[in-house]
Amino acid sequence: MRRYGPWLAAALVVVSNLAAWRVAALNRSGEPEAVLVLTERELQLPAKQAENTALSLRLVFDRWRERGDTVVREAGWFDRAKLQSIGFDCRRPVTAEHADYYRTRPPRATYAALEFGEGASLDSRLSVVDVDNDAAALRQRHPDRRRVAVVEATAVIRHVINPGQPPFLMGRVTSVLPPEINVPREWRGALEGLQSDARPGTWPPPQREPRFRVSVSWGKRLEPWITNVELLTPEPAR
Amino acid sequence: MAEPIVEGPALTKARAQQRADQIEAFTHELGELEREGVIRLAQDDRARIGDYHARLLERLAGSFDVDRTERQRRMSIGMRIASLVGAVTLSAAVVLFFNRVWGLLATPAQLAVLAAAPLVLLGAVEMAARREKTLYVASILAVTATAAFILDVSVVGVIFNMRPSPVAFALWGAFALVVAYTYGLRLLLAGGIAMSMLFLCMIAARAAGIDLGASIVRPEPLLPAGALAFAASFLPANRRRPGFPETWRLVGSVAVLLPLSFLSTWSGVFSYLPWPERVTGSLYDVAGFVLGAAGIWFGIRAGWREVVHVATGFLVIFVVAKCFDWWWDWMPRYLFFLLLGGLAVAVLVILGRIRARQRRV
Repeated sequence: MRRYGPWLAAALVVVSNLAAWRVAALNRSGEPEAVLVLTERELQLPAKQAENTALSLRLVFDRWRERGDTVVREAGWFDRAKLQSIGFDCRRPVTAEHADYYRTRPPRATYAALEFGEGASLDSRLSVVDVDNDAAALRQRHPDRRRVAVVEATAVIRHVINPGQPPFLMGRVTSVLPPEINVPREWRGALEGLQSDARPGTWPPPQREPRFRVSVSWGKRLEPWITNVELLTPEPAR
Repeated sequence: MAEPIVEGPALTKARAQQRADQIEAFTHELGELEREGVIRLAQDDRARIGDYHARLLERLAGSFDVDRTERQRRMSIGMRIASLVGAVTLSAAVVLFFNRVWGLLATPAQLAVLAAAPLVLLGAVEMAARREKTLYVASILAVTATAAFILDVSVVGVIFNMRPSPVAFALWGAFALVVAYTYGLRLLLAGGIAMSMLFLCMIAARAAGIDLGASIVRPEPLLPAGALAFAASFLPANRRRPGFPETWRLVGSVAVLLPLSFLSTWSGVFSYLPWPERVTGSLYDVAGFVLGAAGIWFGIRAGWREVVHVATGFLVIFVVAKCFDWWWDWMPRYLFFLLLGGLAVAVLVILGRIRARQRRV
């Protein structure tokens, strides 16, 4: 071991890197699985960090759900049946007695259909419209590759108790994977000038007119990459 | 005069240190016996023994860098702590330096730097190991090389926006284990085993459809993995490396016992088993008491100090947790603490009896 150990460790480093590059090339080969043109509404630009010169944009979706004052009155499409279809065990009665059981179910890995919708407000126009453990089946149900990206996602179960209403179960996608998209150096310069010096003091951060547009492609392994960044000229004040 | 024998297939650093300690104790005790008039060695016998021991210690120090005095021993402990701090801070420096500069590099340059860093550090480990017997510097560099490899795999994932994968933990674990076995480094061995166990948890979570980030809240895969780690301590490849069987047993015991605390108290939250919570909880209650007691019993009999420490610590926490779980809600507080105090006294009595019996043997 003493003689060949260092070579074995070095071979592990080389092979891991070659394998990662090969997987990345495979993801980006051929026609992209989906292509979306997003703006600052959907891709959050972080504040400057003194200790980190890299730049990644965070995908923002279902932004209205992030506000604490939003009261959810119904499960919508992500109901008990849908939760069961992605593997959550919902056989127990939906009563206050079983709230703890549902509250402690671990998040599940699934695939989500992330749809780019219309909207005049400054909110993100990306929302999760469907989930499935089979990415191909999800794509079949949402075939528009210019509007819907199929992504790996994390889903959780919520046991909702509202006053004057029977408890109900609903699902929610809490994150998509990867949650951030790396900005290669060729476009970093364009976005750097737009970064603020300090983090916003509130969450979600205050909304503003989008200042850039980004083309994002998702590949065979459902992993995204940036293909173009374009700065937008600010509209005159209304 | 007989030449001191220091080389041999069975002689390890631990055994050499044990011999040096024996010589020091012998010299002290001989002095005491002479002062109390029990024995008086002839001058030339004393000189022969002293000369033999001096040359033996010289050779042991040359071959294994053993500590010859209490002061040297204290210095060695200080050096071990310093090397641990050095390893952590140097690893942090590598990661933070890369964070600071990687945005300035084009993607091919980033990839080249990331892949080159662990390779260069591996070369430095090899050079340090050839020059220094104690391996203090080599161990610092080995931990830093592992940190550089972890950084490499993580950042390549960020650059290509890859989805998280359990394979990364398998790669890190394999790297740490290869380096640990090459240079005989116990800290990296423990790290390598821990990362391999996390890999198993993630594989099980993926198979069950659970999000990878939540895999550690389903710790059942650690039970067989810990048992396997314990069994691995008996492999010849580990027995001939000083400190390796103890490290495998230590990590194995922690991996088996620690999850039982959570699984027995909150089986509905932490367990994969589809049975009713009461059944699963009772099963893990029994497993906790039996395995904790068995760990202490076998640890004492076999002389596995690390297993005795882990099992004793676990059993104390487990008993307190179970008492809290069973009695806190319905028992008056004074009675609860009285009962805990009574249990502590009972444990003291039992351990005292075992100790007395061992003294008689």
